[in-house]
Amino acid sequence: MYESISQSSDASLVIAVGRRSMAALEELFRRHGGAVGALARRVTRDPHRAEEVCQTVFTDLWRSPERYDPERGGLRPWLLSLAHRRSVDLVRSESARRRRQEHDAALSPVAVDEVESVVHTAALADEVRRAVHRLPAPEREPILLAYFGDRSYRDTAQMLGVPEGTVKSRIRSGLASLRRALDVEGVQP
Amino acid sequence: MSNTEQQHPFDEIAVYALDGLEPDEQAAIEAHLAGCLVCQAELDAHLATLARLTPDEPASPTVWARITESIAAEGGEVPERPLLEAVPYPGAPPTEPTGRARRRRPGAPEAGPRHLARRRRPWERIAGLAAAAVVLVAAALGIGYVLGDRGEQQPDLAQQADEAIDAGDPVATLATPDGAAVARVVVTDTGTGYFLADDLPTLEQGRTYQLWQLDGAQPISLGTVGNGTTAVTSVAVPEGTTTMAVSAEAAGGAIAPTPDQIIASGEAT
Repeated sequence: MYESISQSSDASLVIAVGRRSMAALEELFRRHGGAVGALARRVTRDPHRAEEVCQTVFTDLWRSPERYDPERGGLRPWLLSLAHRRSVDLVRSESARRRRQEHDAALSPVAVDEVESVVHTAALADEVRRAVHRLPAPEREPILLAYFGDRSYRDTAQMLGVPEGTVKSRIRSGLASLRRALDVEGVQP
Repeated sequence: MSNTEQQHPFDEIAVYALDGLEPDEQAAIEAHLAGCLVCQAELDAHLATLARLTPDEPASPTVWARITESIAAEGGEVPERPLLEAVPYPGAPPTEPTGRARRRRPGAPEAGPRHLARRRRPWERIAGLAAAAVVLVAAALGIGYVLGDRGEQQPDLAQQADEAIDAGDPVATLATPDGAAVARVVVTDTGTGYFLADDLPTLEQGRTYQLWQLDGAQPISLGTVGNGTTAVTSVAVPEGTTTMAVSAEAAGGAIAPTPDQIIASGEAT
């Protein structure tokens, strides 16, 4: 007769959030808040900023749950994309940008080992790291630098010493390779 | 566009998924995405792939506390009848200070660690139980909310409750620890119950009463029942419910009762 919160789908919980159910929001936070916080921490490299990002993502979900369209995919990828965008915006604030450009100037162009150090792949889960390392370096590096290293493709091209158009097409082919690699390593969607 | 597909900028969509475009390009791609289902699907596939890079980990109770404070501080998000006056219940343990949640605005400096630590404990314990918890969503989905909203009352609700009492349906009288009866719950055999806020003090804005079933290993939410100004609220009462309690919680309700905020309890007879 009644659907329990713990057994409800994300989509139906989002509907409940639209009806102002704080309990539904809490369940969604319990399911996805850790991942949202983890991604924000990786990108911002600042626990306090990461908490701000996580808080904002879920208060925005409370305010505007209708922005999530379940027909376009799962809730977690959508929440993570919001967290990533907000984290990147924070990191790319003017002062951070200045510091990073000085840092990049010293590094550019970088060796493969240095890419690894910029994005701290060692901190990834084992199976995720194995999947990432299945990608050839020319595909792996731009994805890691852009996604975890908050670099624009132009910054990435400069750092890697390759043309901008090449970076873009490698990111696209790299994402397809990454999906296959995650499948091989059994990393669940 | 650098890709060979003239119609769909797939390379840029991939970079966009990583938030790696320059601002002007980002705006252009967003304009394209708004009207292109093919590129939306391409983007969604990339986002699903990227989501797999971030593993699960436990959510932070500290952040949850800040989320609830932020939502409560906005006020009006969960409509409540404007209160006349917040009345601390004399027999209840000391309640949190009025307006506590409004002391810190979103984005204002973080509260002290002692404050967070105090709020963290119940949540952590509850989180450990949450996987097995059976918390009914039906009431949270709006029954109590809609009827309790702004103190409006469906005209026949009190009458329905009276009829159920007259018909001999079980009634639980909820009393404070010192024995004062403050509320009743009528339990019908249809799964619908009626919460009668006979003598509950009015809560401050941003707070709500929440009804719980206490018969199992873990409390089950039977729904929020207004802030004390709503005389009768319809609630979902599962079969077999006898022991119940009412607690005062942040607006929207809690996933489990806050231990020091249980106002009254009782059994259906």
